[in-house]
Amino acid sequence: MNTSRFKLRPIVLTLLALLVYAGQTLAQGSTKASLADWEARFPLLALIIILVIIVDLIFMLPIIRKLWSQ
Amino acid sequence: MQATSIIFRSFITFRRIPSRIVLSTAAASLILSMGMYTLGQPLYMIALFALLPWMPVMLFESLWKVKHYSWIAIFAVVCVLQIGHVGEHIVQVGALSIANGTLACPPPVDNDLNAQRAVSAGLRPASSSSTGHSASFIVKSDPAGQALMDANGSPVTGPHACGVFGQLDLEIVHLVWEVAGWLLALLLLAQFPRNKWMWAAVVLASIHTVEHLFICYTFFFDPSFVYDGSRQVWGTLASGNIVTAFPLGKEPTILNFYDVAGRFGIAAKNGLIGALFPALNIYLPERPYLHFYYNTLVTAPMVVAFLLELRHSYNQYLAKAMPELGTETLVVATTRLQPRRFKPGETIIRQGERAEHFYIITQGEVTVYWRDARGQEYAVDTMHSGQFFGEIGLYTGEPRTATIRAAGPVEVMMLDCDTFMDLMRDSQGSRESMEQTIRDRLLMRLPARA
Repeated sequence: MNTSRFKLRPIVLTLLALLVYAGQTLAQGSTKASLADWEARFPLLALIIILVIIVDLIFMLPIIRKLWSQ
Repeated sequence: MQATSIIFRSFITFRRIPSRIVLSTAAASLILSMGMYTLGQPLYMIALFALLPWMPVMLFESLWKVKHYSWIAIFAVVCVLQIGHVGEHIVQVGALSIANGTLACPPPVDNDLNAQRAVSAGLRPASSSSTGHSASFIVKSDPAGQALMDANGSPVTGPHACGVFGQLDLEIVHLVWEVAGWLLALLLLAQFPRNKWMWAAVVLASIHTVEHLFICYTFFFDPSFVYDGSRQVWGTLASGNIVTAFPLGKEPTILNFYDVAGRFGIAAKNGLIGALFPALNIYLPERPYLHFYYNTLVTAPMVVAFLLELRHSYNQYLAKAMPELGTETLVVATTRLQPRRFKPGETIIRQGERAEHFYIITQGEVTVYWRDARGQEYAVDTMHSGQFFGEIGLYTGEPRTATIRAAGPVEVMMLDCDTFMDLMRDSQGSRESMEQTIRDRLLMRLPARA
């Protein structure tokens, strides 16, 4: 099992590198938004991140409390 | 490893659905998909008809497994759906990397408008009507939006790069799937809190959810149509049911933030990180590749977590019938349980015959009959789901002391004599509890409550 995993890792890494390289070739010029346009949406992004963290904590805190007490 | 594969094989074996139904479903799936292929239907229709017969089978089998295995079965269903999702992403990146695929998602549809455009461009006879099918192939376009030609002057054509079911490549579908997967991962974490791989899957799913929530907000709610841009115009050609989309230039239009930036999200090329760090942008993956990585990184630890938890999974009815058994013993005994179904009135065990199995009722009701010395039979009791019978004959070596018949449709899980006696030998608690039950039944003829 260890031997086959050792042989598998370079193959998987090579495939991933090829995919990342292949991903570069799709880049084409297009109308772009400015940095200011992105910055205007930072509050929205922050709100989304906070929302996801809150939901995560709602689930995780009781789990962590239970694990801590055991 | 061998024990894990035995448990895995036992878990994935069809228990609710009889073998003849499984084989019939496989045959139906094969016939339907071959039929679709013969009729020249596009790939998504072939795949859809291949999957259709399996849906009711998998639904009923999954419900049975959830009833018997509880959360580990739900875990299995989530893993299967996520593996299917990763499969769609593999098809997408494969089409892009290997097959000249075009990222026009969802693919253009051979509707009246696109068909008419092809007619106007002289690519399609005026007499042919639109098929309504989604394009399977797309001619690649140059920066001007016209057909890209190869050295021989032929249009460069490849498949669409939207997965097998390309028409589902919509932002709302991505959002619903990702959020559902994230919430299910959190629920599974609550059930399997000590599994590190599950924690990893939840963290990665959370990051992926942030991406899709942001992308979807810009798609649905960001109203800023302020960017001068253009949209690709397509004409569609149909060869039977196979549609090819042909680029016919670009039409000027006003784009919104989603079109020019929001759809790339945070970590993909031309997304937020690329805008903040332009020097880094060239190294960032395009969105299809990034989301392939995201989904693989969420699904892989989830599958590992599932396989690790499966090693500790056991049948819930067995655990309730013999609560004194340890987890490892329950897991091994579970692999030896065999389901059996009986029709109303069918005899399950007969008074006087040799005892061969131990039974746990998992569905329905049975009636216990006792025959006196004159041969007169009396109904002495009724037993329900969760209760067990058959232990007296196995434990004492005596013939069956009662006849048990199905009062309605009944499902039981059976353990063979050797496994039952092994459980009694291995667990003193179970042995004592069973001996007490046997004493009570022989004296009072009352059913044991699991």
